[in-house]
Amino acid sequence: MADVVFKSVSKIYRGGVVGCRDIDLRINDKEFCVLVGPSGCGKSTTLRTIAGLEEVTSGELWIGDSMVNEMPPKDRDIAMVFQNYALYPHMKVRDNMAFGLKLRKYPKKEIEHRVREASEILGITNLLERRPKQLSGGQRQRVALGRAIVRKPKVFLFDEPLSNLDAKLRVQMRVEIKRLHARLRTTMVYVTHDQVEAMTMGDRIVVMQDGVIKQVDEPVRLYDNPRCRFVAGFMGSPAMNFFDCSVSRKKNEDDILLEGDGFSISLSGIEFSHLTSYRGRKVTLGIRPEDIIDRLYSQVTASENLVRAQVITEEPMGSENYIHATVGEKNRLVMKTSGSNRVNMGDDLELVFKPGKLHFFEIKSGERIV
Amino acid sequence: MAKKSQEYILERKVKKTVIYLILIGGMIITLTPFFWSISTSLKPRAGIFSMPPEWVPSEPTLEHYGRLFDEVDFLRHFINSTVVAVAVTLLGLFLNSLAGYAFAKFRFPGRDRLFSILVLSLMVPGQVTMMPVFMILRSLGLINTYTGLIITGTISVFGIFLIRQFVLTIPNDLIEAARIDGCGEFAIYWKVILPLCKPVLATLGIFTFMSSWNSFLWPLIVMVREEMYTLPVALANLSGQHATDYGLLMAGAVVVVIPVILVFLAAQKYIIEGISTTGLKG
Amino acid sequence: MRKRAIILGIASAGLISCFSSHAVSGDRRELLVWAMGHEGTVIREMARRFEDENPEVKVITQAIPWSAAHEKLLTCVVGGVPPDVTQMGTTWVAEFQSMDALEPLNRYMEESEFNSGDFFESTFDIGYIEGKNYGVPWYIDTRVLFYRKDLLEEAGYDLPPETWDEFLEAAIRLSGETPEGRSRYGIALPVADWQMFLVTLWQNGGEILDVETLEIFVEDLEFHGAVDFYREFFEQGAAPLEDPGHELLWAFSRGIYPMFVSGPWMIDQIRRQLPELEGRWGVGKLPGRKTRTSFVGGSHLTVFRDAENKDDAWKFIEFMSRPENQIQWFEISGGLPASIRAWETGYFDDKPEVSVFGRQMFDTKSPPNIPEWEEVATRIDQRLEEVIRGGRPVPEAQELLRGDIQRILARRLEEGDARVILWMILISVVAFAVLVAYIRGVRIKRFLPVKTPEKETEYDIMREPPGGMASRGLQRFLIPYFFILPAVLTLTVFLFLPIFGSFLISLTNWNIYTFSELSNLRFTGLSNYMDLLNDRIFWQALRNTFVFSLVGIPLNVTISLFVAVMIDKKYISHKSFFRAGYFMPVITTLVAVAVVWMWLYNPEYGLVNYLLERLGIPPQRWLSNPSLALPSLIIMSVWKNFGTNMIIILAGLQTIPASLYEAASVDGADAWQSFWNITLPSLKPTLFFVIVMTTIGSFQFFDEPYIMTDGGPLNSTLSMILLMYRQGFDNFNFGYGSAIGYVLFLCIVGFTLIQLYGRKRLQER
Repeated sequence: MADVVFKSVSKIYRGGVVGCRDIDLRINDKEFCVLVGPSGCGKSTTLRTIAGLEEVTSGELWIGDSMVNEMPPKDRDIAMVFQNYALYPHMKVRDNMAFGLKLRKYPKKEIEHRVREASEILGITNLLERRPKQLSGGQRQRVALGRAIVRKPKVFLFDEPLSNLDAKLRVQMRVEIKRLHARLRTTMVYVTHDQVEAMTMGDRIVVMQDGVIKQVDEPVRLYDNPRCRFVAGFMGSPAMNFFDCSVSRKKNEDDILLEGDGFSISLSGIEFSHLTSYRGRKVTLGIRPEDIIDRLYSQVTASENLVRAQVITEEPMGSENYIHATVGEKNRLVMKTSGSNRVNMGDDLELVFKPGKLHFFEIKSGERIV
Repeated sequence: MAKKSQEYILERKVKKTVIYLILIGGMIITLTPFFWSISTSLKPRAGIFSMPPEWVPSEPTLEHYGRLFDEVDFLRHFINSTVVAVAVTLLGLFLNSLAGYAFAKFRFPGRDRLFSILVLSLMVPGQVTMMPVFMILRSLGLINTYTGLIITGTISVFGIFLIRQFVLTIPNDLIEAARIDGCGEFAIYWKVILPLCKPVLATLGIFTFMSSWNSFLWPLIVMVREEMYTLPVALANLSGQHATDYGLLMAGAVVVVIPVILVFLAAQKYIIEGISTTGLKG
Repeated sequence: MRKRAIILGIASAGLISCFSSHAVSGDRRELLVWAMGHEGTVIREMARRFEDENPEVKVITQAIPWSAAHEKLLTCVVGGVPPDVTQMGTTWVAEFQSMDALEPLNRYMEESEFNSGDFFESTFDIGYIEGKNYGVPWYIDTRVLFYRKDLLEEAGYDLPPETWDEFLEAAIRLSGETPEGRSRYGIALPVADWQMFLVTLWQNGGEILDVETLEIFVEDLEFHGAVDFYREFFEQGAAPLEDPGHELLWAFSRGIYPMFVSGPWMIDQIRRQLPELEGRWGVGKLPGRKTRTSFVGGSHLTVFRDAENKDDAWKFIEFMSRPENQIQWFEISGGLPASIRAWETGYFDDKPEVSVFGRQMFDTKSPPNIPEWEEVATRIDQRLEEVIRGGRPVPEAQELLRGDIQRILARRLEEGDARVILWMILISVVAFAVLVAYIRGVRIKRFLPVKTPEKETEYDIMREPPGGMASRGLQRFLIPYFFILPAVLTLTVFLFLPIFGSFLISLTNWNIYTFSELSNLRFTGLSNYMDLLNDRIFWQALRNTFVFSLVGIPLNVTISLFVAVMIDKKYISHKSFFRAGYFMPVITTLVAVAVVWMWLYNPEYGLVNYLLERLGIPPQRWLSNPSLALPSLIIMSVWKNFGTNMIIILAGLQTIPASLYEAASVDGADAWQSFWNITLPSLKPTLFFVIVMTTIGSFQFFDEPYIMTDGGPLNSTLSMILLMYRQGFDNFNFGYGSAIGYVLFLCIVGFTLIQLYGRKRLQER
């Protein structure tokens, strides 16, 4: 019904600046879809093409059953929440929320009802008579949400709605928006540069870079199976560790030997067979911080495949502790351990990379080696 | 230590007093002409030339004000001035802000070049074009009409410039939100931009009102019949070639000036706000 | 609420603008009568009498301000909306006649009982041009000698001087020192005053030129003699070579000037203002040589060719010319009768001073009746001053003057040239092409002020505009154009076209003769601009404008900065009170302000002189002393305008973060140091803006001199714009005037560019 479909949509600004290119994407009805990527990656542009705030240069954009390339924003039956809330400063909260309905000539009673309903959902009934200036950031955000809700649009668009809030509020609002989605059961497209938001909120995540979609997938699959080095590095905090290493066959064995600056790991088993063809070449090895284990604090007793590292510093977070360390001359890594695992600068560590959690990428293209 | 801080406080007090004295003194000098004209306008004819001058009239009278309305029909001129100034201000605010908004927030071919031509035309002295404009008005049959005076005073390049500067500071988000909310392009201007422009509209409004109310030469030229004269023209008429009735003249001056002062006092807050938010400050 | 108010306002404005000025007069015929200033007001009384006599006519009188009467008449003629009867200054009749604007009155004169012999010949002849009469004298004024009886008696004269020799001798003998120790001059005589000089010339049997043949007589011996005599007063110290700037009546009462030559209005003024002199002063006919001719001025009544009600217009003129009504008019306004029969009624016999004027009238002349007279007169003043002050030999001055006059008169012989139309079309096409090319975005060097990104908001131009549109297709493309259309269309019609039009005019000889006959128009290229370079008065105006700017701008900015900084001090409360107080002059009407300041500057009753006198400084003629007039206007203009800058600077001051001052005071800076090191540098952009705006304003200096001094005395307050305006509206040289306008425009642009450049350099540093 209200799915959003991109058929090789491109947006090229005047002067040749690429907004987004060749976007092929289907956002399903009632889906919560998150567009994520670093700033300038084209996620906002993509969102704005849905809103009709950017014209599509080529390709087709469908909302529901209609091709909307030429349709003005007001006819697309969408609502948008802006990063800066974009509340009309000269109107009371009530009027801000009712504005879109008034313009569409809804009966007064209906407007009244919808505003009340939305404000109850968001818990802002006591703010209706205030002006935006008199509200806190979180309250403004709620009003902006309310303004979108009352319209009961086919698609909700969110353009980094939480980035102006402080950390605590952000977490709270995250939950609330998610709840809202559960309640309203409407298609939502959400843009953010924060991968945590993306992971926690999205039914599906679209990772973008330089105007191009890198990967579309459900959060966990995205996390576990990043399709390229960029996605792997972008999702997750602290970010995945990457090491360049050369691939060779271990003497007299079928095992594969990875050698990098300051470490060497031998891998055996069928799951690494895909590396065989890379023998004699270099690849990028990726390992997430939580997949690195300190030998002292684990049951692992193996004495091989140990990676020796030296602590630079630690970031104790209470429940967990991030340890920054060097491996060899130039390689650096971050590992995540439990909060009780405290270290001192200069400590030598013996680490183990969980074999099943290794990711391999081509050096040049950054593509995942499958 | 205690002594030092006492000295410091004393010094501060002295400084404060001195500055207050300077400010008040300057203000007295600045306002003397006003005071003097009010005072003179209240003196009976015989007392006007008295030497030494009387600061406060000993026998105040309103005779000059009475004569102003009996002999000269200042009321009619007052109405003329009001009609023209109010119409010029309202129409001007509307049309200038419409254009200023377009120059600030739309992209269209020729925009920047056109705008630079507008700004350049600010430097052409107005008197250069007086005769041609008069001819054009004449060919449109607008001599001696309110319309003629209003149409030539409405659009101001300065106004467009001022509004544009202000609208540039309005976030695009608001306009986009309005488009999504379902506003037509005019509705965006009317329901979102215009209310947001209040401070700059107040500033521009009062400047437009003032310059329309105060202008002398142009109304004199355009308005052929005396009953269509605006106040400053009627006031200029009160001075003779060789001898002048100062009581009447001062009363006239007071009547001309008071409405502008009232308008200014009413809108003072907005003017300051407008000047500080439009980038007028440079 | 607000929205409704705006809609209501616009609607009502539209409504009101529909009701124009149709005076309902029932079945009575309307007669529109114009007169200047005070006379325009009191003529109502005469109109009432006329209506009593002619009940079928309704007279509408209208007063025109003296200061703007000339341009008002001109625009009415050009606009085709003239009144029926108009008062006209004596030198103007010829001008408007040559524009073919006046109706010959001979037919009416013959058909009525009007007798031209009833009038003083000299004044009646003013209306007589090229064989027809275009005006009837209304009232006259002439110049006679005012003198201090007591002082003349002291010097040994029981009667005022009658001959040149006596005159000069008396003047010399009266010179010296007053009892108060001030320099005393025999007579108050200006160095360059063509009216007084003309009187001298006529008395010596000379003339400037022949109106019919345009033969010029300024190289005659009589002219030489007249100059010699006129100069003698100054050489002998009987008249001030450098104007000491005294107010005339004040100086008369103190014996600084025991004699002066002036008009009838002085009688009243002396009576009223110098009652202590009662019986100690007198009025006499001018002393003379071959004749005792004086100068005649006054006003005529004329009928415009396009007038609607000429018959009643003549009736009114005839009515005003009757002796009994002439006397009536004298009683109402003090204007002296132009009708000899009015003087013969005996009414003036008990008014000895006034009747002197009546006697003098029989021996009067008016300046040559040519439309170019004002220009010729300016040249006479100029050459006279060169002789007396500059020591130029008389014969040389005579020769130069002859050349001047020839050049001025040559204009009427110039022939039109139809090719002018081709030129106009050519230039228009080129200009239009350039304009279109520019707007279409043909690259030129980005030198325009707005193109220089100066601050962040300027970069906003480059920022993406908001996305999306509420409509699609062509409509969507056109929306911004719809928005700017009303403004741009109006500006095109009432600003851009006129600007361009006046530029075209500046390339032609557009003058008084092209008004009556457009075929006299010629394309002159840049010759108007070249002529400017040789125009002494233009240079003077340029100089005045620069002086005004170079003195006025620093004064203005300093004062506004000073006041703003004071008000901004954090321990000053009532900020808005001070702000409003200092801003008050800005918002007031200049006409009203001018009236008040003229009153303050008034030499006799003005507050300024009163206060100075308390300090022991003699009273000054603030606005009529050539060396004081410009400074007086500068002071007034600074008073009027500094409030704007003050408010802008205040706004700028408020953007300076308090933390800067706090840091400075922690560092031990005193108030002066923090002003110098923090306030001023932070204000730099504001000050630049203020200076640029003030400069543009100063270069367009016009209102103050226009209303208060009319560029005088001796052109000392003549600004560029005023000169341009005068050339156009007084001398009808619109081509020349427009050229001045464009030179000024270039000056302003140049100045602004220099300032922008300077600012850029300063910022780079």
